[in-house]
Amino acid sequence: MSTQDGDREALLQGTLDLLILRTLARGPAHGHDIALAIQRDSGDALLVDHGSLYPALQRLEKRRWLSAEWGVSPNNRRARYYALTAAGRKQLRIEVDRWQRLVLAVGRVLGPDLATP
Amino acid sequence: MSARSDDDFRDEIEAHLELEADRLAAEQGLSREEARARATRAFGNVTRARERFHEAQHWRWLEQVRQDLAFGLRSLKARPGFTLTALLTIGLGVGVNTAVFTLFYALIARPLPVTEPNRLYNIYQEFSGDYGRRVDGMTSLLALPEYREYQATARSFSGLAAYGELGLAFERARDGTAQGQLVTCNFFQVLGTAVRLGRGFGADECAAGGGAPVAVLSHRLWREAFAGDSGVLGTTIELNHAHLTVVGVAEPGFAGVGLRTADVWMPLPVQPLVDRQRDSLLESETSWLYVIGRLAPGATVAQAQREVDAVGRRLDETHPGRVTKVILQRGALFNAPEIQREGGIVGGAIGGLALLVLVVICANLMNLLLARGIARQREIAIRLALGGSRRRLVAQLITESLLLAVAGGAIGLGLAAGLPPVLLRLVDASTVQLDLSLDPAIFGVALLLSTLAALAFGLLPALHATRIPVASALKGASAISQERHRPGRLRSAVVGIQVAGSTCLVICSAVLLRSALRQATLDPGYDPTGVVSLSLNLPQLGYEAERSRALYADLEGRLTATPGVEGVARAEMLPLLSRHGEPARPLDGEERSLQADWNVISGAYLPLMKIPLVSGRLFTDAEVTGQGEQPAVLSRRMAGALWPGQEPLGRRFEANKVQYRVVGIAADVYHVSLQERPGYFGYLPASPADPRGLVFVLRMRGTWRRSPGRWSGWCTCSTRPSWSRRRHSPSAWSWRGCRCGCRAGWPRCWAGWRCCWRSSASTASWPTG
Repeated sequence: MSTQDGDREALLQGTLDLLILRTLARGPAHGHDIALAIQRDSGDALLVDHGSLYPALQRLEKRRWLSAEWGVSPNNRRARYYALTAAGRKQLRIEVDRWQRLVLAVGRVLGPDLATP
Repeated sequence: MSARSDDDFRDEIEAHLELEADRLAAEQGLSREEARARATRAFGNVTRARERFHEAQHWRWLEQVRQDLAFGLRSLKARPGFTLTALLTIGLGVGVNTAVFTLFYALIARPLPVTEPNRLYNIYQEFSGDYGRRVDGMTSLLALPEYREYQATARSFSGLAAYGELGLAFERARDGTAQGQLVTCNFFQVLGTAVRLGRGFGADECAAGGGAPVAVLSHRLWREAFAGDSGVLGTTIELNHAHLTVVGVAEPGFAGVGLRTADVWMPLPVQPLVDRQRDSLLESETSWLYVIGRLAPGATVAQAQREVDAVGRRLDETHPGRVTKVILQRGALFNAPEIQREGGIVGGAIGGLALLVLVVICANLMNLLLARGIARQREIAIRLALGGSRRRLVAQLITESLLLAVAGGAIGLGLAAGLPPVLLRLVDASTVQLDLSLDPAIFGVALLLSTLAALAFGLLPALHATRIPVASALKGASAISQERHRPGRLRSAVVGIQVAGSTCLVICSAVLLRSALRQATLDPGYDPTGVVSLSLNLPQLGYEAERSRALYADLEGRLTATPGVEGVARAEMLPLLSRHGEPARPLDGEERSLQADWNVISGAYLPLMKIPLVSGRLFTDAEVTGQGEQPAVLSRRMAGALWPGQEPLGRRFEANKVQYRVVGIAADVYHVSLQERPGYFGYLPASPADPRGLVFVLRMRGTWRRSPGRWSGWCTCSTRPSWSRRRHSPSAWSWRGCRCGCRAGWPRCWAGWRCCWRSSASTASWPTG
């Protein structure tokens, strides 16, 4: 899976945090894992910019939604593992809620006639 | 969460790249190098990610400030000439202002050197309407009965103390004199200062009538006169020829709470012993006591003010026509209302001039910086072109200015710390306590002035320098951009400020110089050239009236016979040296009193001083009997005020319970001060029965400059012998001179008494005389 494919959607502004939190809700992971997981779970539809991922992780960690520590990956590489904190879990619920309301609202504006073009 | 290091973040990205390379190699069968290269490409700009991390992680502005400081230092170092000029001028501006502040702060605002000084308040009274008052110091001081009234009523004060100042003859002190304070018993308790050695005053010693006369010495006097010997306790010392027992030594550094350094404290009942000329304790209309109180815990100033106002009203009830305004002042060395009023004007003027100096300096620097901004146009254009934001550049330029100002301010602070003591030494302030040391307030003012100065001279040039068309400036078209942006107009405005400020300063110095010249050339109405006074503290030496009469007569004969002496007269005082205020009441005419100043003189005084008579005649010593109606001479203004539009000669008035008849009218003279126009003034005849308290006034022939040599034959000065050659400031030119304590020589041989004199002299060296 190459990351230079052009047919994938770039992430909407602000959704990266939500996706990171969601991915980590399944268990601790390192940055590379998180990127792959998002891509995989979106059915290869979403493109995660690796260059933005790490600053985002740092940002979340600074807000104490994530905790991090260095560990060793299955293929014996050192990697920084991130895990969701209690505050992070709470934040995830808030973000999911907000996202669903957004989707609903945007859907309503678009109307049923445009639902299946 | 502890801050994460940049390296840790780099490691994480490195780990990511390795993992991605592993994956690519495994899934797509790429070579290791190829996989790694692809991973890096996919990641995008690693450096940018690290920068974003760095910026998120750090206190960004702090780092920028650090960078700006480093840059500023570099760029200042690159132009040492400019930097040095700027530093010195700012140092001068800030220094002058801080020095002025330090002086006035020490005088009127600095907390007193005692415990909890902020709870201490002085009580002063200001009268208006119809009142008569003897003044010993300042009108706003209190009389003893008044103090007692406040003390008995004011519950807002946990204690109210009073003290009066008094000069003392004290053999063991360095110059034979000491400054004494007559105090209430609670003086040390109210001020919260301990008596270091021995004890304070006991209740019996303060009770009216008094017990054994006692004194507490200042630590300084104790060290100086007794070499710090604790055996001094219980011994007897001689102050103004009264014998007092030393019972204590005050805390080191404590010299009272007034401007004048106090050396000795005595309980109030001692007053008649050490000051035989007065009965201040009994007088209810004499201003002589400073009153200072400590607010009780929980009491507010407003409460205290209400209480003392009530006391003031009650005191007025026995004085119809008088209105007393009671003033509470936070404790400070120099806080009497009349002084603060005058000091406010003087301080405002000096402070304003100092600020003007700073303004001119700022304008000057601003101009320099504007010029530099043009020279730096290319540099700034490059920075702008490379993506530096304008705000960042302005911050950078202002940081440079701030660096200059703060460093200059430090120089100024040094100047301010060094300048006032030097100035004080110039005006001979050895008997004055002034704390001029640095303290947070002074430091704060210096910092504030520096910062304001930096903004004043740095902001506009910085804004101006960064407002340039980048493209043309980069091309080196400085001429074009200059034309378009007209920095010239701003610079002209700044030059305008500079010229205006400098002109103001020049005008002010011219005015000051003129008034100094005016004072020097002002005709005071009398001729001080060659006039010398000799004062004998006979009451303090224990001479009674009869013996002093003989001494005065004998001395007068000897002085008249002394070669070089042209004339001899007696007077209570010489002009400008002190004042004697007393109300006068006309006996024929309206029933009202007039507050006036007086001099008590012998008949020879007016001709000797060359004060002309306007009409009438002088009184002769023969017609002064000391009984019944006495002759008097009034100044023209005084006569005009007492009997407006009428012939004053032959009219009668009363002053200090003695009746006088006006025999002559003298010209108005500047007696009280050279700054004030001559006021109400009168000359009363000296009582022939008791000459104590009078000084001899001599007119010397020729130049007075050479006289001390001749005089030293019968008077040994204990001060420096060069005293007559000292030049004085204009306000002091006439009479302030040497204090010469004469201990050995003829007075002792002749009178058989140890004698201490003070003589004041005019200096003939003043060019206009």
